[in-house]
Amino acid sequence: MNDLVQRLSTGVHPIEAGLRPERTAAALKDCIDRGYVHVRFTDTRGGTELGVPVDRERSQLAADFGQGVGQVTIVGDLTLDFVRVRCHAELDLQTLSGSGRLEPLTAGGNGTQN
Amino acid sequence: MILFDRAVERYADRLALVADDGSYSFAAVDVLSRCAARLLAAEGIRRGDRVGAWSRNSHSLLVLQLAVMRLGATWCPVGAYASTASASGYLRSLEPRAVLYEEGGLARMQDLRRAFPALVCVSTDHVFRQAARDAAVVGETASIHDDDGDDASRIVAIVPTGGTTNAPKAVMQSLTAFERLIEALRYCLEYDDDMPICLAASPLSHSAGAQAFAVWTLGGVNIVMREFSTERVLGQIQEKRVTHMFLPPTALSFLLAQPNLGQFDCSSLRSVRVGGESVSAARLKEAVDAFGPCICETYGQIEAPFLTWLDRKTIAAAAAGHHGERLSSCGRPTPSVTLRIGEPGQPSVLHERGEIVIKGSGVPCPYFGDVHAPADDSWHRTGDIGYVDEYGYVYLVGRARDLIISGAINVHAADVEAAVLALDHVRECAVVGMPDPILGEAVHAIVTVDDGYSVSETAIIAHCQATLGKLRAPRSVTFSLEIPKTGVGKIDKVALRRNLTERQDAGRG
Repeated sequence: MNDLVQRLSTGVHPIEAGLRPERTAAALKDCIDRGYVHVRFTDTRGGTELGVPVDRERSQLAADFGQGVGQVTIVGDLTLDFVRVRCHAELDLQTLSGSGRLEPLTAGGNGTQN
Repeated sequence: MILFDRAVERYADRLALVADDGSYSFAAVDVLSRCAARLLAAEGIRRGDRVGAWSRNSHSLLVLQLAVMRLGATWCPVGAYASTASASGYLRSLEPRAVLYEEGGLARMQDLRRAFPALVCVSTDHVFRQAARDAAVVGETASIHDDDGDDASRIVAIVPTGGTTNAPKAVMQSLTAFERLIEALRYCLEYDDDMPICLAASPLSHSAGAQAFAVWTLGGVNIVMREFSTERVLGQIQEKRVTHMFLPPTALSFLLAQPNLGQFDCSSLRSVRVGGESVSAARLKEAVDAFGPCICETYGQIEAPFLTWLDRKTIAAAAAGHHGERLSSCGRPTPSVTLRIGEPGQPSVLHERGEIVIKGSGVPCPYFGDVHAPADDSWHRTGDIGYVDEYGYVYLVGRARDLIISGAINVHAADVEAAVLALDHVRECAVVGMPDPILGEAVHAIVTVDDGYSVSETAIIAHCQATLGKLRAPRSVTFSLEIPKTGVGKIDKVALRRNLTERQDAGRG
C-alpha cells in the first residue's frame, strides 16, 4: 500500500480544518453545507490537506456552530495516491482541530473501489 | 526538474494534484512522473527528442511534462484550441520524435504521420493510466535516472507564440529560461504562509502551465480543468476554496458576465493573475468589485515572459480612486528586466510613445530554427508600443503591427478597443483596419455583448468619438456572437480580417 495512506491509516493523527479566508466555526458550517470540507493532517511531511466530500449519513454534524461549541465528526470517501479511502475527522468547534484517520476501502468491503 | 524535486523533498505528503479520479501527493506525482518516463523511454523517446503534446487540459499533461523533462527530451505543447491544420503544421515544423495525444485525437494526426512515418504516437490517457498502475505497485521505490543533468542551456520546452497578428512562432526555452520564468511567477503570486490552491482553467500550453509549476515550488496544489466553463470555474473556487488562478481577459469577462456570479463564495481568492492580452481598466475595476482585492496583472511575451507586473494592492487602490489611471497600466518592470521605450540603451522619455524594448537574464528566448540566436546581453524589440509615467508604470498602447493608418492618422487598435470595452455590457472587442478607397484604411470594430443585452452601433461610435476624437473612432461596427481565437485563446486578427474581407467580397458578388 502507498506509504502516506499506510501512515494515515495507522492510529489517529492530529488534524485541523482547512478554512479560507477565515478559520471560524461559521466558515466550517458553510463548507459542510456545501458538502466538501478540507481536513489537514498536520503531522505529515509538509502537512496533508485532503478535500473530503461529506457523507451525511456517516457524519455526526449536530453542534452549536453559532456559539462555536461542540464537536463534529466528518466522514467521507476519496481516492488518495491510488487508494480508495474513507476519512474520519473529529473536529472541536472551538479550536477547529482534533484527530483523524484514514480507513482503506477494498472492493466488497465497506466502501466502493474506483 | 530541480525545482520540482526540491518541492518533493519539502512537501512530500502534501497534495500536488486534485483530479476527478483522485488526489495525488507530491511523492505520488514524483513516482508517477518517473513511471511515465520509463514508459516513454520504452517507446523510444530519448534525450534531445522533441515531444509534441496535442491535448486539451488534463492533470496527466502536467505529470507527462515532468516525465518528458526527466528524460532530457523537449516538451512541445500545442495550443489547446488550435485548429487541426494549424496544430499539425506547427508540429511538423518542429520535426517531433513523438506526439502525445488525448483520447480520440489520433485521427487528427494523419498528416503528421504521413510526414514522419517513424513518429511515435502515445495516448496521454493510456500512458497516465499505465503509469498510475505501475506507481501503485512500486510505491516510492520507483526510480529513473534523470537525464536533465545540470546543463542550463538544454532546451526543456518549445512553446508557440500567441499568433495574434501572425502565424505562431516556436520559442525555445532553456532550463535557465524556464527556471527564471518560474522564479518570476513565484514573485508575482504574492505567496503567504498558507498553501496555494491553484485552479488551472485556461490552457496549460501557455501561462497556466508555467503557473502550475510555480505553485508546486511553493508547495501548492493544482486543480486542472479540462475546459473553461464559467459556472464550473465558480463552483470549483467555492468548493475547493481556490486561492490562485491565471485568467486571460476573455475568461475574466465571461466570469464577470455570469448572471449568478454573486451567489458563489469566492472569498478564498488571494491572487487572480490576468494576462496574455491587455485588459481594460473598466474590466479590472469590475473584477475588484466582484472578487475583492486579489486581482493582479502581468505583461510579457512567450519570447520574454513577465516583463511587468501590476500588483493586487496597486490595482485595488486604483479601483478605489487612488491613481485610477494605473488601471490602464500593465505595471512596473519585474526585478530582472531592464525596460526602455524607443531605442535600445537610450533613456525613456516620460509619456512619449514608442516601441517597448527590454533585456534581462535568459531573455529573449530564441526561435526554433533561428540560425542567429540572440546574445545574452542583447536587447529585444517587443513589437509593442507603450509609454512610461513618472512613477515607472508602463502603459501598453498596442502592437506596432496593429497600427491602422486611416486618413494619414495613426490609430492604435488597442486604444479603440479600450474605449469600446469601457461601455457597459460590451464583452469583447477587436479593432482592425479595413481597406477604404478614401482613407486607405477605415477603423472597424467587431464586438460581442453580454447575453441578454444589446448595444447599438451608433452608441459605440458616438462614445468613441467623444473619448478618442472623430478621426480615431470606428467608422463601422460588426456584432458577432463570438470573436475568432488563436490556439491559445487570443483574438485572431488574421482570421478576423479574412472573415471580414470574405464577407465584403460576397457582398460585392
